[in-house]
Amino acid sequence: MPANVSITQDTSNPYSESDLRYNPNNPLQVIAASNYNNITLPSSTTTQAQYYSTDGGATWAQSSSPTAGVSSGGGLPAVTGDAFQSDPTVDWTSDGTAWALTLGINASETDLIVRSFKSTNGGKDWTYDSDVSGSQTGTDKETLWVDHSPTSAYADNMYVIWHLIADAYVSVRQGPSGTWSTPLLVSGSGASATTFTAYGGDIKTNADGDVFAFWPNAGGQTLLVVKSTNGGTSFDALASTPTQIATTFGSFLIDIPAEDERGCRIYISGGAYKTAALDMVYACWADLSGGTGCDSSSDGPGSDVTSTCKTRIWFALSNNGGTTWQPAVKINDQASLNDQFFPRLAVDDTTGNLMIVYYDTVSDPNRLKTDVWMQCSTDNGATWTTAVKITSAETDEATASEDEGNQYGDYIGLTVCAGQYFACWTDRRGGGNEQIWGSAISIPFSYFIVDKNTYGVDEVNDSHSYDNAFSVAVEGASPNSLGSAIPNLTGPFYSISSISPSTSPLPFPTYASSGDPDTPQRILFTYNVDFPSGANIPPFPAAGPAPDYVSEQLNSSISFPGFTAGPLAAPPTLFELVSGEDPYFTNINPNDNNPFYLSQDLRVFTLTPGLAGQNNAMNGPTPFTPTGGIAYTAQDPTAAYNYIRGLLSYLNDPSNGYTNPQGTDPFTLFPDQGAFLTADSTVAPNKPNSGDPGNPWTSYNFAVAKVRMVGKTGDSAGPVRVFFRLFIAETYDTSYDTTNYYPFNADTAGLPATPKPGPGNETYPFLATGDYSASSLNSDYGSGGSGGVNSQTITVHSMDVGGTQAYFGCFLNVYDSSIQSQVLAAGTHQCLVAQIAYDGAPIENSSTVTYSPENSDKLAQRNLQITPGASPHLIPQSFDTKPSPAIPPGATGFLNYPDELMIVWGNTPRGSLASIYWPQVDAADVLELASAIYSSNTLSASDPHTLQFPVAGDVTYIPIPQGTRNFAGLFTVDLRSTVVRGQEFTVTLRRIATKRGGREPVAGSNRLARRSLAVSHEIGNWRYIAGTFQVKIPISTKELILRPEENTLAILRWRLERMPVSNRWYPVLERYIEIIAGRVLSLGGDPKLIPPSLTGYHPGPVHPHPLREPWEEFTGKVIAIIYDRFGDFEGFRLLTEHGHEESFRGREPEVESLVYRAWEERILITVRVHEHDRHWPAAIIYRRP
Amino acid sequence: MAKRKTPRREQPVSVWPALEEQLAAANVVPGSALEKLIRDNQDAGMLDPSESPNDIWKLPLWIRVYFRKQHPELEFRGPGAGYPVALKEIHTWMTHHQDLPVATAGTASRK
Repeated sequence: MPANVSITQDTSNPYSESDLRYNPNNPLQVIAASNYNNITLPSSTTTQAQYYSTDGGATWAQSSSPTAGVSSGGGLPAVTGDAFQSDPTVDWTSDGTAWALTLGINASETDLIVRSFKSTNGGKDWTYDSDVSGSQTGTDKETLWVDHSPTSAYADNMYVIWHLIADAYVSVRQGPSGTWSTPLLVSGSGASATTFTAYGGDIKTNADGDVFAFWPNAGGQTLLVVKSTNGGTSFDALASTPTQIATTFGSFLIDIPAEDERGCRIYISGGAYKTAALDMVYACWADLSGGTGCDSSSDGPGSDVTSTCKTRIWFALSNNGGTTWQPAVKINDQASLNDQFFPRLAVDDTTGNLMIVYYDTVSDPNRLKTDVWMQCSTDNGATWTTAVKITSAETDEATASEDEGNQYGDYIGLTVCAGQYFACWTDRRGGGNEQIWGSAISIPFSYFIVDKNTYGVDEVNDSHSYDNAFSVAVEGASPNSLGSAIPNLTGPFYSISSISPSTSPLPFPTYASSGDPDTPQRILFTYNVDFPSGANIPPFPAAGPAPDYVSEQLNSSISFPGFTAGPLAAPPTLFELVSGEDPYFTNINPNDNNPFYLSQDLRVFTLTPGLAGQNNAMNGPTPFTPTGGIAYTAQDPTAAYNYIRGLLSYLNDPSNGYTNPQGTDPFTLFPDQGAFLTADSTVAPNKPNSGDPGNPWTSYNFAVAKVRMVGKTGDSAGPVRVFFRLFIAETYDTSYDTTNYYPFNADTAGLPATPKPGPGNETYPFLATGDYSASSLNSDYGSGGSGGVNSQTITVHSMDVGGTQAYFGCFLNVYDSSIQSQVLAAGTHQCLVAQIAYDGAPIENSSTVTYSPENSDKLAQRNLQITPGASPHLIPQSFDTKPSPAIPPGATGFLNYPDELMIVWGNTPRGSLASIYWPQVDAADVLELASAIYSSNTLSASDPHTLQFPVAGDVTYIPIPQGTRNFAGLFTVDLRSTVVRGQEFTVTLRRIATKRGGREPVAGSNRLARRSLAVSHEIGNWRYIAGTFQVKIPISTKELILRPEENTLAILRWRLERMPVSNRWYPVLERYIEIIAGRVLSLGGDPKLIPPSLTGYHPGPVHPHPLREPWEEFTGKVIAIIYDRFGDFEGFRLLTEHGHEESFRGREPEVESLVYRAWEERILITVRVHEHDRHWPAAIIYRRP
Repeated sequence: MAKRKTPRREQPVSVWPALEEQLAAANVVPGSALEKLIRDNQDAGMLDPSESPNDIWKLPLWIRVYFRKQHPELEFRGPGAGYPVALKEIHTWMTHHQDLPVATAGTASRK
């Protein structure tokens, strides 16, 4: 849904009719105003409501009137004699003063005076300034506009237009220090005078300071405009004064079913835009749709919902500064019987783009309820986009209880600043009092999200195809507005490759909110890249002594209504083609299309020497041999290090045939490789010992990496080193960051010689000769990084065909107690990354590429499940997140955008509920970011550090806030109760970042603090996939899940005992343990019997916990039953005997029936919960009715 | 025989409800300032011939007449009568503040 926000803070009174404005010099400041409609209060004075925001409209506050005795809800002070105020209009001057105008109404004497007020603290507090309308006391419908153009000779001039019965008047003030001029009659006199009423005028300026005053001539059924080129001194600059814009079918007011009490008024919302080449003037208004029975002032639907007469939004433009006008058009003339009314137009003076918002009953077949809709034009009004819905809930003012007949009031508001729009409107979604709501809105824009934009010669010759290599994103369009349009790809990269739409795992296109076809959202088009004939040279660069790169550009544009004359273009992106003949990984097997994070060239396997046949990875190498008298049930790391070195020696001996790319792949002989392409590798501490259950057989886990090199006999490269790093938690942040994740000790060339742990052990190296230490590093890599088992000179041997393969490896001594307590954080899954460090082809992030295992052939990733466990309904998964980079001062475009988490739900049941617990993050900050950058989102905060969101579509996007260090996180998915045993669900989490470096895109303004992306046709920054991890959720039986969960609980409790409270993972681990303990209980186990243990849970209590009552009970009556957006039972609230409200969750239909009966029959019940899981009832006891 | 001139503004007397109906429609409190105002403003001849209780304004006779009397400086150029839209709110306020107090709170007005 669009990020609608309530501007009104007082829900106990009715408000309607609103205006708002960005401070153009500080768009974080926004002011708004509305009528306060409770004029029936006994108090003799009520005043106009004022609102203000300091964060660009994400949140709002409501002012209080400073006048003693004046009713609250108002923000302006009272002026003596005024019973109430009406008709709000606001703006800013360049000194930061906020201005609000209103009609001061002495109701007893029916005097109506236009009055001005000002605020010097951003709209919080207001003081009376002066009267605007001179001696006039019968004024109405004033509108304020300030000339904000820096190129105008009249910058900061303040203009007001109002009507006095059938006359339109203008007053001018030369800036905040000036005074209001004597009202000037602009609507003419004599034969050309307006008749009946001049109600509904507007006044705007252009970049040169030309002033346009618009008003309707209701009696003559025309719309008129006059122009001033002298700062409002006179309005006679048009050849014909006034000039007619259009004629109208209606006259002043049209009754429609949605506003049958107050009626829909014909008023003008105008605009102007001038450049060296353009001199545009615009007007829009609501009127009858025309045609038989709907083209005269006596026509109109009235309260008849079946009437074929309807109202539509009309638009007209002048391209010669108002001199002549093109015929008016209807911007959205649906065939249905619906009514559109209260249009508001805004012109972005940085781009010339137009936006119109208005009410429309189109979503209600009964023609009574409304939503606010938006259309925009990027071609100076020539064409308009299909309308998209802005409101996330509809309003019904056709019921009997609307406030004293005010209904919607008479208008809504829209403001724009440098590409960011914000609308406000009267809203009654809750059915109570009318309120003012608002939403940020954007013109649609497009950009690339690149997953893999670097391709090596050797890599491409091994594997031609790359699925899901990049996406084109369209923001701010709705599925219906985009229709069947798809991007048109062009450019050099398009010519040298074969690009095709990807339909798996995401559909093409992918909608952020597929259930809302009229809601603006992010729409993704994902593509595969293929090189059918391999890495031809050219365009791939030829091999040379140094890495060679060629950049090829790719363009995208998409044409849809409103973007037909000028299709919506994405800033171009670049793809790098890299020369070969260096050592490399081929992470993806082209025949299997495995994900990059389950690299085919990085394998993990387990030996359990105590079990028969499990003391060797394959036939040939020396088997695992215990050290001295160490038993198979004890830890023997020395033997493990001996083993891996022996294995590598065997594999690297060319006489054994495994260095030959055409020979047998030794990985096919390794144990536990059945699911290496599809699932995380399991790294278990032990296996059951049937003869002595309390002493399981110790397991040892190893990683081996295969490094490839193309060449002929005798070709060599060296030293080639491979580093093995374990990330502290599952993460999508594996990009090549040599400060945090890939630090190294340098060789004499300043390039990586040996690995180092990351700060705070964010990553930790594992070796083949011993636990990480200086001496082990020396053994693995030799002195200065040369010589050693993991530092080799790779040579193409005579028996190798087409190149060679070399093997590197390590012992994953993850069950060492110090590793467990110091390195492994919360959770059960980690990432292992192997890095090829070769001076001849170092990994160097360029201006166009940031490397990661996702796009580099020097990095290979394999995700591990180190702590044995299962993944039942409520899957918890800890993960690490780097904060978004700081925004550089003056940043524009993507540099002003946070990184994002993109969750691809795959086959996860829709209606499931997910959450992310980030103890170092304020959930409110994330929600504010989401409101700022997304047209719509489904995020909410279930507690100050937990985000909650439904699985509603194919993807969910979550912005990542800035911070000083990584965020420890816990991701949970609460599946729907309809899942069944045997199902397996896959969730993929990806990080989207901005490529930083390279030229900036041409931006409109760098003053905008709210996130906005400038559309540019220069090559600039783009978005890319920085990393990925996957979560699998298998559904199994209680019997199969219980023991692994008990193991996990034991190990995590062991870690928690040793983890300092100050560790950033501590709260995550606590919550993780709470969830697992609750699961153990629900699976029939007893979590209090599970002692902390490094090696998991073994039957028989070791440290029996003192027994104490684990239950809590709450007795009371059900006061609410909660259903989610799909109508599924979600929980209930209980009012206890002590007067407290307790919330409980539930999914099961049987629980729902119990709760419903208790609610319906007012039965007193007791809800029993376990201390580990207070929100899920363990029992519901009926007491009595 | 010279034709008798028809008064420039002449409305059939039956267009507007009777005074007692108007008082009842406004829920008038007997003796209130509003009652007096209603009684004192029944000059339908001041209105435009097109005005009626069911026209677009949906306003009673008395407030239209009162507004016109309060603002003799205003020119109503027909067809129709272009009252301020806020007159509807003024009507609402009057019926809820029947003593018709003039507000004393606030700052003095500055032209």
